[in-house]
Amino acid sequence: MQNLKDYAASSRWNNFSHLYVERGADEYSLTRRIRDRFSKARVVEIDDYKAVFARPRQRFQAQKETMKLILAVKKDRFLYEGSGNSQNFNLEDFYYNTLMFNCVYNCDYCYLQGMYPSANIVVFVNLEDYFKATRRAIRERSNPSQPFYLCISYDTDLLAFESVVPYCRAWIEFAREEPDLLVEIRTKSAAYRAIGDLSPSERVILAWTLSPEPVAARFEHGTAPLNQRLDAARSAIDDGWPVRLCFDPVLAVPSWESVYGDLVEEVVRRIEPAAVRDVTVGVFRLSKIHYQRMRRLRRDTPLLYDEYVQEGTTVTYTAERREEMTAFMRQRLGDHFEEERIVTWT
Amino acid sequence: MPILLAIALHAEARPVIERFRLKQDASFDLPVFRRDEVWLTVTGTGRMKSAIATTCLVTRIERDERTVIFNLGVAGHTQKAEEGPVKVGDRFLANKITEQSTGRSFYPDLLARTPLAESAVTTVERPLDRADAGAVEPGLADMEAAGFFQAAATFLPPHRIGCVKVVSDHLETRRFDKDWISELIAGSLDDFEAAIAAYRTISDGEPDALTDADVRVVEDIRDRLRLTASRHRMLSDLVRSYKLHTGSDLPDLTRISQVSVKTKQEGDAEFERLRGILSVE
Ligand code: SF4
Repeated sequence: MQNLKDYAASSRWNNFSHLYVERGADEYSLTRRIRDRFSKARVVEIDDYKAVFARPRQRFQAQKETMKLILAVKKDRFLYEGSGNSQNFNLEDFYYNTLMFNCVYNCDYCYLQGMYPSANIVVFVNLEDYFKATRRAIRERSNPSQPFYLCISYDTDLLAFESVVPYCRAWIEFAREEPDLLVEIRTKSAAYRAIGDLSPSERVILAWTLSPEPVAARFEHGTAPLNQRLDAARSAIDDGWPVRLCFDPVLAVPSWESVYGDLVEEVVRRIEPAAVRDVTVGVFRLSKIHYQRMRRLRRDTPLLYDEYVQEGTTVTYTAERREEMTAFMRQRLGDHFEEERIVTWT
Repeated sequence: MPILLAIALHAEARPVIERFRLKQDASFDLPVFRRDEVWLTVTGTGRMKSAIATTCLVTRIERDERTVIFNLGVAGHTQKAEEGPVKVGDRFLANKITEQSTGRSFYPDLLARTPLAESAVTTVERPLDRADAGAVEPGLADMEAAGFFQAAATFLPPHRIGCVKVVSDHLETRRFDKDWISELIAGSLDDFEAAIAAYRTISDGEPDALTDADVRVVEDIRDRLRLTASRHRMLSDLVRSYKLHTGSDLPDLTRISQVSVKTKQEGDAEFERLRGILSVE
């Protein structure tokens, strides 16, 4: 069962006390929709989102308790190249975008804490500019024999916020018009019903991150419990969506073998492995810069005080532990999924 | 947990001084009044004076992570008298402060829930006339908030800085009677105090696993083992990690905290012993 703190967390983003609206954002239909939805919120007009988002000395975790919503227009950088800390599935043109900054959830291991000066949520309302940039990038991609692979929920949880910002829906419709596009929407939510009325698209992978329930309850604040994530994934499969299951990050919690072994058993009991597109596995890892900032900010979670090593610019478990954990997961998953459907980060 | 107050006029400060029973502290070059953890400075009129006095106060006081600072004062409102809901005596917490001379805006971080309504405040160089009301954002016009906020935000996080304004007029030009200003401020003090209390309840996040008592133990060991700054940091992290992973208090380290080492090698050996005790693997 999720604790009370997590229940409070979910109500926090259904009831914003303040909307900060960039002057230029007001003319967009999404802005009007959000202003109507949160009609009781105080609206503060701003010139540039950075004046609120990038204030010095903000406290990320204190702001998480009462997140504000900032509506802004993104001026540039509608696509970023995927980082080495993510799996690219052997697709050469691997990109992600940032349709919003921050996330409604609050995982202890989330690098956003080390990346952004604020926990407030910024939503960029000029979706058409993202579409335009993506169309161009698809045309200009380096390997035309492969699809242009785009993660739209890369450092946020877009589906969790779908009832406020219906961007998953918009991108699913966009993907229908773009035969060379492959979109991934990754989530820890159970909000499948927010897009459940859409017909499935082979160009959109719905990806659920799955964690053992004790891990989710302790470290993934506000997210849906495991059983709800599994129900949502199963509904999506039943409706014909390509579904990916992500065992990432695998954490070296006490008795991790039995905890993660049980997770795999629970998953295959609830979801028919043959119906899953693929699965991913990755152990805990963070960029060194984010890790260092997070340690300065968070002195309350054991996750940041484990035995890690630095490899290049990445902080992670020792090679030995990494191999042990990855091999364990591959082996357990290998009992149910063919080798080529298991993608790992090592 | 200091509460710092920056108030432009004596007439505005007087009821606050009375409410908190503050006494003048002559050790400051500026008028400063205090009692226990409450410090009040009378800044004088205008954003520059407000910034200077705010800086002076903030930098002289020993701050902690719960220190809050407030500006309190009267302000004009752009709404015409009787033509809207705002009346003389209404009070607002600033959610946006614009410096008219530069066009820049600043945003206090509104994490605390207070009984106050909110408003934009524009800081002007000289009192605004009714005829110029359209030149500023609808809301309040004062002469200090932008100076105060910029000075305070140099030192404190934006959720510990509050700016509370009491409506004194609707931009009609007239001279204010000092007693009347004091009365307006006095009428706002219950809400003002509630706002201060609300700001003080905001914590900066979950507390450090290392308690004050743990910090003392660690410092004692640092001194006895003559640890370098980086070893000291490492030890703090080891203790934190131990507590977070085991969920229990520190083991008894009295034996180590009673050792005194003479050489670096002895210090290193003791440090390794500590590492073994605190290891959670
Ligand atoms: S769901 Fe992902 S983006 Fe959101 S807080 Fe957790 S780790 Fe961060």
